[in-house]
Amino acid sequence: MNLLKKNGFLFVILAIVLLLILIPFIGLKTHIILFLFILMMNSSLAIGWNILGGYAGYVSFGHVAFVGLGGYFTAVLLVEFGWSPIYTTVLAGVVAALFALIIGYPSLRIRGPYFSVLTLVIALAVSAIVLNFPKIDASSGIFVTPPGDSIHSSSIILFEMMGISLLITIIVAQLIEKSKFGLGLFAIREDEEVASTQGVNTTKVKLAAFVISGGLGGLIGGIFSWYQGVLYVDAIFSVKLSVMIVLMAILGGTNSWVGALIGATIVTVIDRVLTLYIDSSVSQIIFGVLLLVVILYLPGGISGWFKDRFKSAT
Amino acid sequence: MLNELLQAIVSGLLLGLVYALLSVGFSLTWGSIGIINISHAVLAVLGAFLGYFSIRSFSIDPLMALIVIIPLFYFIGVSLNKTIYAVIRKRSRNIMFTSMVSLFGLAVALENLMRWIFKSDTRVLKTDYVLSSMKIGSVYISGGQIVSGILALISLGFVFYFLHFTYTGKSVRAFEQEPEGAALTGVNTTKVSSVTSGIAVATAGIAGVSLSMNFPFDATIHMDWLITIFLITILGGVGNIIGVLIGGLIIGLTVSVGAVWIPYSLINLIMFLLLILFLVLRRKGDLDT
Repeated sequence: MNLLKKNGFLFVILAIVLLLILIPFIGLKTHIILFLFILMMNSSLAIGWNILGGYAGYVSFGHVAFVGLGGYFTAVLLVEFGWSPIYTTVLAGVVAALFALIIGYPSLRIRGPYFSVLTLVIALAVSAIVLNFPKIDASSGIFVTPPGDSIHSSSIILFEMMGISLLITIIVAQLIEKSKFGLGLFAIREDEEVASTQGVNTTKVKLAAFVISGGLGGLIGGIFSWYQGVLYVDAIFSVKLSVMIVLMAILGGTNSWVGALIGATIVTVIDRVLTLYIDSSVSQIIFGVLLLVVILYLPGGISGWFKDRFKSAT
Repeated sequence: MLNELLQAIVSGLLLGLVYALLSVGFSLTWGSIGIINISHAVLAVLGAFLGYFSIRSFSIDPLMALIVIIPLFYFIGVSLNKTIYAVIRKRSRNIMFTSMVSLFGLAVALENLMRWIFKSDTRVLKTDYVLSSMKIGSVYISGGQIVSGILALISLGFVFYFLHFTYTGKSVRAFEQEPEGAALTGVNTTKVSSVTSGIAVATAGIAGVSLSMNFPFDATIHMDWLITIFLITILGGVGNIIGVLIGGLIIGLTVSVGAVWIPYSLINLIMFLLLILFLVLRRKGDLDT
């Protein structure tokens, strides 16, 4: 199993790198490139969320706070100074990480449902602050100049940026999973008191996970706002996105980034198909029911279920 | 200015009663059977929709529609307890947490089901008394505020009477304080959780109708209502009925009096920041009895 996982890591990394190199040349249609962009975005968000929410079991319902902060950061810098998000999105990650550092210390003392509610409200508060912020005039939407000359070239630039972010996210997650730091996070999820008596500096470990997770969220948000064209608060600070992130990770299984990747793929495909052919509210209904059923009957997610099958077979 | 303030205080108190009614079932469910029902607010929205369509499609006043809504919602509550809550109790190590995440799923599903069926237009309840207004002394109060305030007060009175003066109600409170002890003294725990859940959802239905007399609504508004519920529940202490009443009045007054000086969009922000503050400062046993 371990060997399989290691090979899986290399395989996924290679696949993404190959795709990044080939995309400009193979002439895919724009809407397919943009679909792959969303798929990679959802995957990075779920994998990044999972670093705290999955490994340590601190389920945040407000991951979009970081995404939105990063998004507005790059958008405002682009509009005001003409700085390209290609560079500023890295700064957006740093800003989101700093924000995680500031709110993390008081927030992470709070556990279980209280932490989930707290993160939900923090995201709502950040979005309300951005909405009422003087000068940026968020309520009427911010026009973000597209990255390329044509829609097609824009989509390729966005795709490359998101692909690199996904690579970074997966590598970070893999390193954490294989490290002592990751072990500390898993120990916190199992039993925080025991972890603490076993010499895990729980405060520090949790905070580090929150900062990494938030930073990755900001990085991705910085690219996402460029994709939006016109940036609205509701679109980037959406509770729907927060719920989808949680669903993707839990559906796939929160023990590793592989689960989050599987979950993100399934959810994104279902969302696209249902939104296209029926209605977006129908896909939301199905996600809601899925979340309910998976939490109750499949707490280990799809990858956990496969693992159980695999174990019982041998 | 003084008159404006007086007006804000009166409508704040009336609104506070409605908020208290909205939160009482949520707080009770959390406190007594350990289930955090995130879908409480979305069920209230369903109540608001039923009241709205009863007048618009059948010309039946929402107050009359309550004769159907209350038993229907009681039944929904009992069914929730028999199905989802039962599975949570059976399968989960951490009931509070599992209930919260899974019922978040239910809330999202119900919200979008309503968006799909009822469409996402903003609805405004229009009955004669909602549109009229009354002058008491120097204060103008809208009919909707008065009717919903009285409705909330009566409903809260019933919940209080039930919990303090009936055998089943007393066992709900006993169960809340000491589940094992209550079970030992012969309290029927299955019945307690069933009745608690039924009454909780019934109050959500009434609260939804009451709120529709105060504000325009659509399916997505439950998120705002949910924040209000959390604020009041945590402020008043989980499971504490008197706390819910006081918390509701405080929040109602804050919203209403705040609106005299602060633009409406900032009031939401203040609510969010208040809730963050309560959550961060809260220590186990500090606020909840």
